[in-house]
Amino acid sequence: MQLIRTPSRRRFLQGAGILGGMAATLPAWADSFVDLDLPGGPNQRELTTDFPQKGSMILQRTRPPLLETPFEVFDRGIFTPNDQFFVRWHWAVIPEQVDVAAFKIAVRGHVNQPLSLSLADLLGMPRVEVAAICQCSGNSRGFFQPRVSGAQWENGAMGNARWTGVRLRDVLDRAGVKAGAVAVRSSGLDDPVVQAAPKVMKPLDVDHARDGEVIVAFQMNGEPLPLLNGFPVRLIVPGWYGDYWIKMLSNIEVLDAPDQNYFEAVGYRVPDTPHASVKPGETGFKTVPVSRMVPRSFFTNVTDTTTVNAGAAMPVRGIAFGGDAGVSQVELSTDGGRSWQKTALGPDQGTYGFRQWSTQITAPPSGTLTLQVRCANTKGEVQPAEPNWNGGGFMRNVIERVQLTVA
Amino acid sequence: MKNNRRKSIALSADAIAGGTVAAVGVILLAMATQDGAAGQSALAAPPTPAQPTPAAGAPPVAPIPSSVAGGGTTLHSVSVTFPHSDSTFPGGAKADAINNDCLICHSAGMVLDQASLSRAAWQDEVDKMRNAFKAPFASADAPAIVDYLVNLKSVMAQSARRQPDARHGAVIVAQGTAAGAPPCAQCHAFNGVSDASGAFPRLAGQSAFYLASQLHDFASGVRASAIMSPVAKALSPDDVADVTAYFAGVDAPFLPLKTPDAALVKRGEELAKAGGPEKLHCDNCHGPGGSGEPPVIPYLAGQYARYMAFSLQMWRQGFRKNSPDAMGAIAKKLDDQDIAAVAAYYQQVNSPLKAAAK
Repeated sequence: MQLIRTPSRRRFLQGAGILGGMAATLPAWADSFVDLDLPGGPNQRELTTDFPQKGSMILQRTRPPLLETPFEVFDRGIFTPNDQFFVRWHWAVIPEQVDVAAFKIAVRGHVNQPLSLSLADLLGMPRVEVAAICQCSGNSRGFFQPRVSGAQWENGAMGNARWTGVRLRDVLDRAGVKAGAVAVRSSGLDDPVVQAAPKVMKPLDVDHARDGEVIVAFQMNGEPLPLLNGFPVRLIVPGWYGDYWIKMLSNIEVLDAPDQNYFEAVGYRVPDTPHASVKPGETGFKTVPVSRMVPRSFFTNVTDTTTVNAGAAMPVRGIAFGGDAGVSQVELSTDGGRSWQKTALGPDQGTYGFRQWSTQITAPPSGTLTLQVRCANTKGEVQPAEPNWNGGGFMRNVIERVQLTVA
Repeated sequence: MKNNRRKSIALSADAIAGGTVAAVGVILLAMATQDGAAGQSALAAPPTPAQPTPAAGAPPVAPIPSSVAGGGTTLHSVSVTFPHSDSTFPGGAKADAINNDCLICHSAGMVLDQASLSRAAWQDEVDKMRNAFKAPFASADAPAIVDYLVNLKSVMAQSARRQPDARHGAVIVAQGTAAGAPPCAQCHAFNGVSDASGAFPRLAGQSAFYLASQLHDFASGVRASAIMSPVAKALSPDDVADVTAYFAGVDAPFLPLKTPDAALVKRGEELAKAGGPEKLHCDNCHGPGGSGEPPVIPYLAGQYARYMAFSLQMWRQGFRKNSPDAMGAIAKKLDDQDIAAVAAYYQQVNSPLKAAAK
């Protein structure tokens, strides 16, 4: 392999403080920073190991925590380690202690028999396991142009894990969903600081909630969930964005009317247009809740700072996912998208998980080499060549590109 | 970002002074620990996490860690501590509104990392915070917050802040200033523990930002005090930064105060943790067990009941005018019994007597 790599696209600045007004107060405990690649910046973030049960993470916000997975983690395998799985909370009142003996999930609303399920109850029920990606609907928001407000993620607000738990359907069947139920709304132990603020909750259509794929998970990659990822149980909604994956799941409410809560009726909505895309400033379009994920693919072993030897053969690889369907194929272009060649796909570990792709290319004699990668899912949906835009910074899935330098 | 709610003296001072603590500072700080030598055993223990108190006569609650097993899987109870952010919005008085109003619910980091956004975009954000997310600030503050955010990039570029000097702060605490500020230690003790009378608040380990904002409000009269107003007026901005950096870095023991009325403590704990009809629970903002959410929200755990009750009465009766929309509004929903109860509860949270009884 003739690949010459710079240490990382991310430049680790040991002990340097370049945070504008913050520089003078750079504390001794801030040991390193990371540079993102967002257009126009700000790009500097702290790399932190200060969060419980978490390894090195990109600090987007301390309270409530927003922690991004450093992208090099995705080159190490298709399952994201629990201690580097991204973290995203809306509200700051998050229990620091969970007593597993006292923890209960209430199942209530439009049911025959309201339940208060203990963890022992859940552990005694039939189990399923699914590999599935949890991705923030605002993943990659920092790349939107014009820029939009919100967490300024790069591409690391996603992760893939093996989730073990029980089917939501089985939980609902225990309670007995009454005729006329339309939705199943979930919420967790987290609360807003100001009690009048809307609690985080998300509904699923009752048929979706009972399709057997949605699970109440108590294990992640064979271990208990880190508290910041939703210990002791979180909802897993394969193929759907993370806002539905309620953490510290404590409340399951069957509704007999459409949900009107803030995070369904106002927040997390996207234009009801192709790719959820509108022109900046455009108004008057219909909106719908963010829901199913769309296909994406990424390079994991090359970046814009990679240098390759002229004429050398080099391996290129990455990860892909199909969104709410499996990966059909992943293709690479070396000519600006005029032609595409298929790449080899790694083992299929589950419809809703990451799939590794790999191929080999030959570097040109000089200049630069631009690579593009695109994924098609089994429903025939392909990543678009043009980036989408919406005011929330949601559902980015444009074809990724890297420009390598030939030396 | 700080990992621990309370750091050791040496580490905190080191962080504040950027690793340049000189011998004199170490000596002064060492005095601070000796000052409270009687409570050394309590000093070694971390702050006690809030735990449910069993009702009198009830069987003892199973202590964490407990576990639940089934189907070959065992889940153990988890107890963690989240780190705090020390960052505030730079820019001095221009940042007062955003610091005081916004940091109650979220740290500054994500806001400082936003791209340059239009005035309309920032107005939308501030409106969302106030209208949809019920942020407790007056509509009159909104224009100042929007202005600040629109100019955020230039404010950040201009705000090369002087590094606080905790050693100089310690000198002021011990000796006062030539400009006439008396030594803080006269009332608050050199280690910021004040005394068991509870007439003066405990300052040790309180966030520098919070202490500085109180001094600012004493000087302006927003928080009226015949004692503190002239003191605050005699301190220069650098003095304030140094003194507050010093007190923030002191990890002093808690005095072994007796709490005579268990029922009052229990009632206070209920209010603190669960609130009541129309009553906000204190821990939501002040952190679990009142451990504080620096930089803006002070800790209450181990604060003197007499001082807390007095402060709540000042807010309730309108004499203390800082935090009108949060603490002013909350205090008006509390009656005398409520105030006595929450004050009694928080005073005993970190009591060494309580730790010894366990």
